[in-house]
Amino acid sequence: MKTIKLQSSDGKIFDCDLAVAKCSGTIRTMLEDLEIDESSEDEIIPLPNVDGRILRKVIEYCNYHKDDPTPIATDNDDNKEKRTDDIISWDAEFLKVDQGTLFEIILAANYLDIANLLDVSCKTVANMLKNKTPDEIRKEFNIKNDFTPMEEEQVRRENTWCEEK
Amino acid sequence: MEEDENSLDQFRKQWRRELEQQLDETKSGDSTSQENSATNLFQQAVELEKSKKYFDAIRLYRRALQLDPNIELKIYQASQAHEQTTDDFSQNSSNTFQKELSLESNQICQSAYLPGTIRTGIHISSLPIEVFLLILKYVISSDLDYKSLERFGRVCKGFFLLSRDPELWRLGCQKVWRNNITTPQNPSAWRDMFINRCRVLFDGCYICKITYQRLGENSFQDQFYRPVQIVEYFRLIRFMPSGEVLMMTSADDLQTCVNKLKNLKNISREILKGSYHYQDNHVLVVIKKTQFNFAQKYKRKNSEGENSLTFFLELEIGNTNKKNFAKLTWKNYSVSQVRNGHEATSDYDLRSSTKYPPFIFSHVKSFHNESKGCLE
Repeated sequence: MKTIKLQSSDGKIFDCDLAVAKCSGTIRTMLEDLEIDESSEDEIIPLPNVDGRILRKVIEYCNYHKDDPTPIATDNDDNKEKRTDDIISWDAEFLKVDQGTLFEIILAANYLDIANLLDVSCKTVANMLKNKTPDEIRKEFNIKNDFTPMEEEQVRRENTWCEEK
Repeated sequence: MEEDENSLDQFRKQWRRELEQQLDETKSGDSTSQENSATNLFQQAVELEKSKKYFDAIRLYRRALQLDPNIELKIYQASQAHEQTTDDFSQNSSNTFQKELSLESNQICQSAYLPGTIRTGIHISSLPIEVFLLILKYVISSDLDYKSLERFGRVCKGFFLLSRDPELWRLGCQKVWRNNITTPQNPSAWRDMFINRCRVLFDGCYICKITYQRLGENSFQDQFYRPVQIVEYFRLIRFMPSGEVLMMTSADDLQTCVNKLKNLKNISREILKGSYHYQDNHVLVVIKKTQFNFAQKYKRKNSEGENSLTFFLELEIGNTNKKNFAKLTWKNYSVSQVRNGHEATSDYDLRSSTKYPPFIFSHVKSFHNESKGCLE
């Protein structure tokens, strides 16, 4: 199996199967643009937006998921069922990281264009946001409340339609 | 004598310490508290001036100026800003925020960390907008949890803007009313449509509690003993945005019933599953129940198709004092039975209000605990 080398922002080099690297849309396009294929000599792909720690995680994810069937976009109901399945346990375990790392994984997945990883990591953040009060969200993510008391009251009033009284 | 002196000495020491502490506090009272008290004094002075008590007013103005020489300018600026927000806010709150945000920074939200706090990893504000929108689609999820979205919007200004993204609301409208919608001219009207147009609520279930009294059997010997039994049971309906509906009737306690309605997969046998659709402000529910058929099981030749029971419910969507669309009133209820190829339909008499009281909506938090998938 042909391997290629990926270079992270902090200069670390990772050997990676071609098939695994191709999980990333960005790398796929790069390889095509650079005309790298099975026959090319050792080429190094620089990834200036991803640091080594995160790149290692991303490669681990792609390695596990490289044989996943690509979802075919159809209107078939069965297919929809599958896509809305809960996060599988391996992924859940994989994403048991601190918040900062989770966001970095999201950024890397977004930059590298790895749809599955982006979806599952965004879903993890979504689950952290669901069923929470604004205060709980602020606390969880360390967010400053920049509303003036009047604005806050106004927004609260606009949103009363969904609150229980 | 010596003891007294000792205790006196101790008291003095403590007193001195307390005094020192108080002094420290006044000294270290930061500029903001000073500004606040200056603002208070200034405002009091303004009031006094208005009521023509000039002497007292001047005294307070002077004190305010001593505390903060720039207080007049600050108060003027604050009042200007205040007026501006009141004006704009009522018109279009998102516009003001938009302007403010683009002026201040490109960040969606500000970190609450004090500057200089040591921390690892990046803050949520580093995520780009398109990622936030994807996350929000998972928050809303296919079961349309707009309550979580609205709460998200109350966190800070940036999140507020994200929560009002028209696309997020358009997808919800499309899911609820399918093709039966007209695109509003103003994109922000998608949210209004979602909130105000007649529909059923999804974040809980509609419950109808039925109680009636039944006369028991008279005692054989005691003619005056007339037992009365109170019968109580519940009928629950849960609507799904997908167009599916679950209904159950049970005498169990409510919590047990609600838990049974939580999962769409492997639903228990007592729960009936059907579909619904809207007709003006009515919702029509059709539930078909296929009955166990011996003839089919043993593949007898004389089997004449399956036996089935179909329930038709027509309910009118109404409001309670507390919540819109939280009440369903019975309008029609009929059951049609197919048995050995014969069909028979019977209508129920809904006039008895004890047997068919309206359904009242009840929010169930656990229905939306986890994202069911991306809103599409």
